Amino acid sequence: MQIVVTGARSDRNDWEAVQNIPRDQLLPLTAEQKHVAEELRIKEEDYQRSIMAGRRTGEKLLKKAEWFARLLQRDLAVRAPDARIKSVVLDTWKERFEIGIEVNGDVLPLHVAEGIVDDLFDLSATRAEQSLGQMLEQSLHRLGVS
Amino acid sequence: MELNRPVSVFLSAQGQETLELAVGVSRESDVAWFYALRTDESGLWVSIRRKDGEHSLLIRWDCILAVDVPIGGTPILESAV
Repeated sequence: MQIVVTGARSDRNDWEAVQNIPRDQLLPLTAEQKHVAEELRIKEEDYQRSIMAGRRTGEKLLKKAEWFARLLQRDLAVRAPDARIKSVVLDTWKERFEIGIEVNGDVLPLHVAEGIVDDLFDLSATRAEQSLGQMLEQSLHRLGVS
Repeated sequence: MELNRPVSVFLSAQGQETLELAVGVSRESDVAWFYALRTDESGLWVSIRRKDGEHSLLIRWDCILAVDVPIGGTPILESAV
């Protein structure tokens, strides 16, 4: 199963934290990033910091995506044994998870708003799994899988 | 609309003047780089750092010509489970 986070979102805390990183510890920009920084007239150092903030936040979001993918996979195994999750992509701009479910050689798309997953984090584990289960069952039914 | 990401703001002449007044820094460029919090009907809310900590600053839409928001599309992180 492939788990991906796309986009350039960064938490304010991560943004603040990278402002204090010594300049010599910043990651170098790629040629493309240098070009964009120049095009947008952003100081290279500022752009380096923003990219580092994005990576820090991205790592947290990747953990969230992995957690969600595992939960989803476990639930799917019970409800539709022939189906498997091929990919889970968190699009930070659209604020949604884009999930590919493979059934009999076809990949069915399923979209889940990031807010729903955040709500799952806030609930107890049992309640979260119940909510996810209901959501998954409805989605699978709509997709004609169960 | 929540943004929560850095953006480039292309300022009008009035915007440049306003920011100079609000932030207290002379602006040589008509492009400013900010951490954007959100937008609303009034304008763009950005985070700025002052000596006593973080402040939220509203840049009114009439001060802004354009905003460049990096939205990605390219995977920034990837793993396999």
